[in-house]
Amino acid sequence: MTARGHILRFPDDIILEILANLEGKSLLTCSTTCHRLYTLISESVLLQYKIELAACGEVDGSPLLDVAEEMRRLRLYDAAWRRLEWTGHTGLLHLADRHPPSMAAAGALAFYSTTVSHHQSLTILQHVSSKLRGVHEQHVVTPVGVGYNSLIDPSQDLLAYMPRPNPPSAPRLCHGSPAHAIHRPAPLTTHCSRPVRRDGRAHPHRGVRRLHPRGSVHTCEHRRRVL
Amino acid sequence: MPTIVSVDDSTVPGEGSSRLLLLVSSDNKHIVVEEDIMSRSRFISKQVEGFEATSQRHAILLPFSSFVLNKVIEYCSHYRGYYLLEDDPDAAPPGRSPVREWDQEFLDVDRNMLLRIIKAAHYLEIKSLVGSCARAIADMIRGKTTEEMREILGVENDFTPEEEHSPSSKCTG
Repeated sequence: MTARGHILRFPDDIILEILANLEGKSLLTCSTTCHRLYTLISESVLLQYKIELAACGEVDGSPLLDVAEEMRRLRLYDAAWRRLEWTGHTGLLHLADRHPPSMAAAGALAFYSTTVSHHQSLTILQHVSSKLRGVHEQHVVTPVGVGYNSLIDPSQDLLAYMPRPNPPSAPRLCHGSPAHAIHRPAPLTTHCSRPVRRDGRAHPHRGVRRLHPRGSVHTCEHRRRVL
Repeated sequence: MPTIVSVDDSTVPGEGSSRLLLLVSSDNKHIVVEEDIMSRSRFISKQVEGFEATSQRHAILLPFSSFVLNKVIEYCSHYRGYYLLEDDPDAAPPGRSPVREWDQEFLDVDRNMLLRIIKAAHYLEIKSLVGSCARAIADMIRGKTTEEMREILGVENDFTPEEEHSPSSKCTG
């Protein structure tokens, strides 16, 4: 017996059972093999959910809800992030009162803390474009006062950077929740590459860029974000 | 092949109250197996219920070879008397079947055999075995390229060149 055409002779539920073991990227590849698999994958809510999870860089949490509901929340969550407009107001008002209510509470933030000595400095928030999330590149330039932190969210491709302060000392970039970020500065690199945990320490599993649950203020509290 | 066989309890030597079933494979091999070994199979259980309703026992014809059937019987014998959540029709379906080491070794067979076992398990309605096979097959194709997947799954590219390059697929990076 040859393997040619073998899997296509199976009933749908066997094939779906096999596919359910795959993760987003393999599912996408699989859907490009032939029409039947493409149709099966695009019509299955569960498999589409896995693909969208992977596309957003998320992993599934505990299965408390049914897949359709999880899918709905994932889309809401993602759409909410896409609609975010980074303006001086949304970005810096939060910083100014040192209680960034929603975003810092969510935890997946990185802070610059800088030692600028003059009274005004410019912060540029850069929203790096992401095809997957439908985000266009955008810059927001805002004046910042002395001692203010600016924030970035690495998981949303948002990068903030400060001009070199005067006298020159490297601006410092920290990851983690605000309280720890201030005490645990790390040298600024071009990108947020170090995985962090909620306590601000580097994540022990190298290569797995897993952040803490941050959905508590959003709808997806059972999800964890993986960069 | 209307094989009517009467398998009487008294003919079962030394095996307590377990009755025997006669299974006939597609290559016409007759395999006698204890009923409670095969009770994991919903298909067989339904047949047995039918026997009890009509108080007539006959051979059960199966559409796969004795080679595959023996493999399935080996699986069922191994888990004889064990409770596996996936096989419980009353339990909520698990999200994904758990990894069982014995199953992984048991299913360390070539691709064709694996595909035949999953088909047999599906026919016999043994959910736990279908789940384990599905996991093993998924492991074979995980992380492979499109071409490699086609080769492993035995599917042919039936997309037109336009479809292949259309942006409808979500592979946007």
